[in-house]
Amino acid sequence: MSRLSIRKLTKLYSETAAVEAFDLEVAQGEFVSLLGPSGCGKTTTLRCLAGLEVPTSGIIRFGEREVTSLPPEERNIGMVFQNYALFPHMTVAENVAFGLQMRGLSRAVARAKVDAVMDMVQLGGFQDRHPRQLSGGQQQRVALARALVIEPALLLLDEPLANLDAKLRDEMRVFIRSLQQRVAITTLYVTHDQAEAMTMSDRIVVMFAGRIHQLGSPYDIYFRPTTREVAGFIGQSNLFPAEVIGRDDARLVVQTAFGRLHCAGPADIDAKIRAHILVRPEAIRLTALGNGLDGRIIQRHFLGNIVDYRVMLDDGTLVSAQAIGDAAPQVGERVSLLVDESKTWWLP
Amino acid sequence: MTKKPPSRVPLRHWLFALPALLLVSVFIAVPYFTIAVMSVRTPSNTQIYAPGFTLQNYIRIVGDHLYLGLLADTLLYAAITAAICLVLAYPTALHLARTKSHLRGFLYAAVLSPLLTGVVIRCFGWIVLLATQGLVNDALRAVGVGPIPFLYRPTGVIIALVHVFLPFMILPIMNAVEAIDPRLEEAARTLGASQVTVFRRVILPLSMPGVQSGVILVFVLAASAYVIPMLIGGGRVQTMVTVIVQQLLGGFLWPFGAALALVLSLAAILVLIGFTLLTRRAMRRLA
Repeated sequence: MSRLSIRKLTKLYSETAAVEAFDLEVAQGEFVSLLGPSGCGKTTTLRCLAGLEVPTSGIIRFGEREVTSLPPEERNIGMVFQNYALFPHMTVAENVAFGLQMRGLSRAVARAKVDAVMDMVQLGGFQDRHPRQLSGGQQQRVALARALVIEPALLLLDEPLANLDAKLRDEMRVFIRSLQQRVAITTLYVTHDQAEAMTMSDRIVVMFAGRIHQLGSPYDIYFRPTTREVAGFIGQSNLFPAEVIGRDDARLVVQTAFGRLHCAGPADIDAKIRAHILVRPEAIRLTALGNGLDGRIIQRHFLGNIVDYRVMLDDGTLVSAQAIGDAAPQVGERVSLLVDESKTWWLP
Repeated sequence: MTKKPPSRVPLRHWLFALPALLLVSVFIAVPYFTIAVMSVRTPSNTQIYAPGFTLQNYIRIVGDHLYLGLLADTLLYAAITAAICLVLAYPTALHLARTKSHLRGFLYAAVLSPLLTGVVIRCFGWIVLLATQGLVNDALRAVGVGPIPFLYRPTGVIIALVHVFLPFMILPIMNAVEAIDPRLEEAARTLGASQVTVFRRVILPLSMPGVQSGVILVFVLAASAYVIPMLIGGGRVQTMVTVIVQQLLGGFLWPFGAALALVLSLAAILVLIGFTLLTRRAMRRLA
C-alpha cells in the first residue's frame, strides 16, 4: 500500500546537481537509510520526498499515487527534524494533536490518539509540559509521536539523533527501530553516521556527490562495497593493489603483496585486471615475524574490547589492524601481518 | 573558622551596571520625581508656584471635559497610528524577514530611510504634499475625489505620524519573524497545514512579542509627539502634549502642566497594560 518509488530524481541548484538520477524502490514497512557525508544530497532527497523541495525532474510515487509536485500538506507524511522543530508556543499535547486537528478529528478522538501515542513513546503524563521543559531525548520522542500519530504513509527522519549525546543516541537507535517495526511504517532515515545506518536499516543507500554509489543490506555495504568511496566511508579499510590472475569457483585468485589470495568478488570479473582488494582491520592478524608481511607497529589504541593498530609495512604502506582486547604487541615492535583471505573483497 | 564568602553580588559587578543606573536615574527617575512634586504644588500667577501642596491641579483635570476629551483624542490618535502602522508593517516585516532576494539590503535601508531626515523637514514635506493645492489633492481631483482637507485636521496629523513611526513597527516585527525557525513552518506543513494555517497557528503567535514591542513603541511615540501635531495641525489639532507645552511656555502654569503630563503618562501606561494582557490571551488562543 505505502510503497515508495523514486524514479530518476534530480535536483539542480543553479546548475550544480544536489541529487542526480536517484532511483529507489522501498517496500511497505521497510527501513531504508540514506547514508553519506554532508553535502552528498541525502537531505535534499528527503526534502523532495516531503515536498519541501521541488525536484528539477523525476517522479515520486507513494503506492500508486504520484506526489512529485504535491505540496507537503497533501502528502500524508510524518517528518522528524534534526532540531525536532517542536512548536515552542504549544504544550506537548497540542504539538502532537496538531496534525490530527489539520485532519479535522474531533477533540475527544484526538485526545485519545495523543494519549495512546504518548504512551507508545513512553512519555505518558508529559502532555501538559512545554517543549522547553523537556530534555533533548524527550523532545525527540515528542517529535516522533507527532509524526507517527497521523498514521502517515511514510516516515521521514532527518538526522534525528545528531543532537543527542552518545549514550542516549544508542538507546534511541534501538527505540526508533523497534517502534518502526511495531507500527510497520515505511521509513526513510537520513544520517551521516554509519553505525546508525548499519544497526537500524533493512537496506542502506550510500550517496556521494548527489549520486547513489551503492544500495544494499548493511552486510553487503560492509563486506561487499562496490566503490572505494563506500569502502572508505563504512568502517576502517585497507586497500592493497592486486592483479586478478584467475578464478577458483566463485572466488577470484589475485596476486598481492601478501602472495596469492582467494578473494570474493563480483561474478563478472575477468582475469588480468589490475584492481584492489579490500581487507577490513579485523581480518588482519598480528603474528610473530616471518609468518607474512613484515612491518613495525607505529600506533596502538586500546579501545577496551579491541586494540586498534597502525602498522607501517617495510615498503611504506600503512595498514590498520585490530586484535581483541588483551593483545600484547606494543608500539615499536616488529610484527608480521596475516590476512584472513575468507574476508577479503575485490574492489576496482 | 573561615569566613563564608559573601553571597552578595561583588562590587565590581555593580560597577558594570553603574552607567546604566546613572542614566536611568538621572534622566528618568529624577525628572519624573520632580514632575510629580511639581504637579502637587499650589499654582500662582506671580511666581512659578506658591508655597504649600494641593491636589487641585488633578481635580481640575478630572473635573473638566476639555482635558478629558483632549486625553481621549490623544490616545485615540496614537491608537489609530499604531493600528495603521501595524497593518502596513506586518506584511513588510514578513517579507523582509523571509526574503532571499539580493535586494534585501536595499529594502532594509529603504525602511530605515525616513529616520535619516529630521521630523521638521518631513513635516514640511507633508505640508507641501497634503495642502489643498498639493500633489495629493491634485491627484485626487484628477480622479474626481476631493479636495480633501488634510492639513489642520487629525487625518493629516495621523498620516504624518504613521510615516514617521512606521520603522519602529517594522523592525521589531521583522526581528521576531526572523527568530522563528523555518523548520517550524516546514514541520507544520508536513503535518497537513496549508500556508494560511501555518501563518495563523505558527508565525502569527510566535511573532506576537515583536507586534507587542512595535505597538508599544509607536503608541508611546505617537501619544507624546509634539512637532507633528503642531506643524501639520497648525494649532487647530490639539493634543495633551500641545496643551502641556502651552501651559508651560505660554501660561507658565508649571504645576498644572506637570499634572497633565503625569495624567497622560499614566493613561498611556494603563492602555499598554491592557493591550499586553489582551495580546497575551490572543497568543494563547491562536496556538
